[in-house]
Amino acid sequence: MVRQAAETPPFEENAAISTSTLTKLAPTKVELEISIAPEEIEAARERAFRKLVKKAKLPGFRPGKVPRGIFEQAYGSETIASQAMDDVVPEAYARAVLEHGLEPVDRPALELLPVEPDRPARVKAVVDVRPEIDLGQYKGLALQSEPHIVEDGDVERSLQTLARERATLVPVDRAAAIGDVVTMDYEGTIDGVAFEGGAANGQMTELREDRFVPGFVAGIVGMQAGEHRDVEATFPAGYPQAELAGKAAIFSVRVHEIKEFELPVIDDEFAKAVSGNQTLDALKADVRTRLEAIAQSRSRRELADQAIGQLLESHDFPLPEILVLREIESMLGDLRSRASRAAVPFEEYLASIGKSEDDLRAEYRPDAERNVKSMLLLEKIAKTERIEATPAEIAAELQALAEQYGQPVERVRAALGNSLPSLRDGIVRNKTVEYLLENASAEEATTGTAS
Amino acid sequence: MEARDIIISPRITEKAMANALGHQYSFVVHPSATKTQIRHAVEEIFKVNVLKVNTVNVGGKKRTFARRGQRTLGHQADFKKAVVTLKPGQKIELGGINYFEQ
Repeated sequence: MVRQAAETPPFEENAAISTSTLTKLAPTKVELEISIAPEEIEAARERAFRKLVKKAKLPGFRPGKVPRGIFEQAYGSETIASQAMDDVVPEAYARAVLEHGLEPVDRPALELLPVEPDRPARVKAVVDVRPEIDLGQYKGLALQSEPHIVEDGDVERSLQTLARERATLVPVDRAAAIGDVVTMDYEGTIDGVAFEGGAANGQMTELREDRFVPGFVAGIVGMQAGEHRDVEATFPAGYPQAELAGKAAIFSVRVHEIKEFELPVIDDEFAKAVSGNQTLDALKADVRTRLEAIAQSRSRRELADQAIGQLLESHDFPLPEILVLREIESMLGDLRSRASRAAVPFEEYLASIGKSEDDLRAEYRPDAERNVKSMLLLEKIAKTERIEATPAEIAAELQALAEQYGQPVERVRAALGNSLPSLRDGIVRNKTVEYLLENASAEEATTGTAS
Repeated sequence: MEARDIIISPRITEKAMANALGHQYSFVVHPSATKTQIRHAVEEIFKVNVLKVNTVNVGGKKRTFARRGQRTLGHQADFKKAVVTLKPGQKIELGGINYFEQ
């Protein structure tokens, strides 16, 4: 009895047999026609079969021992063919991309052209590619820096803000004024009919013009504690509750108590209370350092904007449409998430600004194009200058994120998952900007540094 | 019995396929078929010359099924297997497909 020998045909790598031709459809769009040699397809089929046969369960055979002929009888040869194509097409595509030195910015649209047996299979791939960028001058950019100097007044203002946060409410015996906090009951009616949400008892409210229906706050100003008054107010036309919009209402208001904010005295005691500092001077120094750090990062950002602005001016190249569209969508997405955070349905927000989504898309386009262009430019410079993110830098960034969210580093890494490359790209972009600034000559508009 | 009643089906298993290289082809045959009947049947259907027929009655395996807490005993069908040795150089194909040599 002769046992059948392992019937693997000698494995052939037919990489060279497959060819591809490149057609430029647009400055940033190319079409590749890749032809894959029959030998290569057969090799891929064999590989696909070896993979699939491990799962095949047929009576009379142990899993993985089914001969190919029997397998094809049972499962159809298309199973193998499609698996083979899934396998060989991306590979051939990757080779073609390398061969033509393309830099795709998107996944290709692949199209299998009809296959004739024993003829090379042909695949059409249309893909957006990075434009060719002729880098002009990007070193030694002349930048005008405008130093942000922290002055005593700025420190004072921060302290005031701190004081306001710690203000206490003190009852006063005088007429209500803007800025006071009043406790009141009110009941609103429109044409003598009470409406939903129009009444409250014992509500404490800071009197500010922008609160409530226009006219309401103004009507309360000047009232004494215990006084009763009817206040007229008109709902604005764009009021969220449509049945109230544009209607004039009369609020019957009774003020119970008027309080005003009393600011704490800014002294050593205050310093101790708001921070770990022992003296007011220490607190001031602290605030100053913080403000200076902000000022510095602001100047740096302005310089970076300038540098990138100059580069955008001096470079011109076509942008891959797909990147621009994606950028627009991500800007819209940002807006959407901002709206949902503000608990405003996105549609209502759109209605309130009187624009459609497409209007916004059109509006965002110039900015999106700018973003894409600067991104492509920075990446090109990074590539030319071999600026890369080191593992240590990535680890540091992850660490920073972990601290920001109060999560273990591993959790953050897991949560990022597939977006780790974009984290890396972000680091590279930052480093590139850093590089641009280092190699630029910054001239200060006025003397005196921010630090 | 007609030839096609005697030969029930080819037996396509790893072992049968390995044997096919040595001109031995396996079939499931009628339980009461004799070696002579099998020889004539194979020669008639596949137009080959049979040198030798070996037969064996294969007992089906016992199978246990768990059903609602109690076990049920089952039994796979018994069958007769015939291993037919052909004249060297001859082979058997079914519907244009050679089940045995792959």
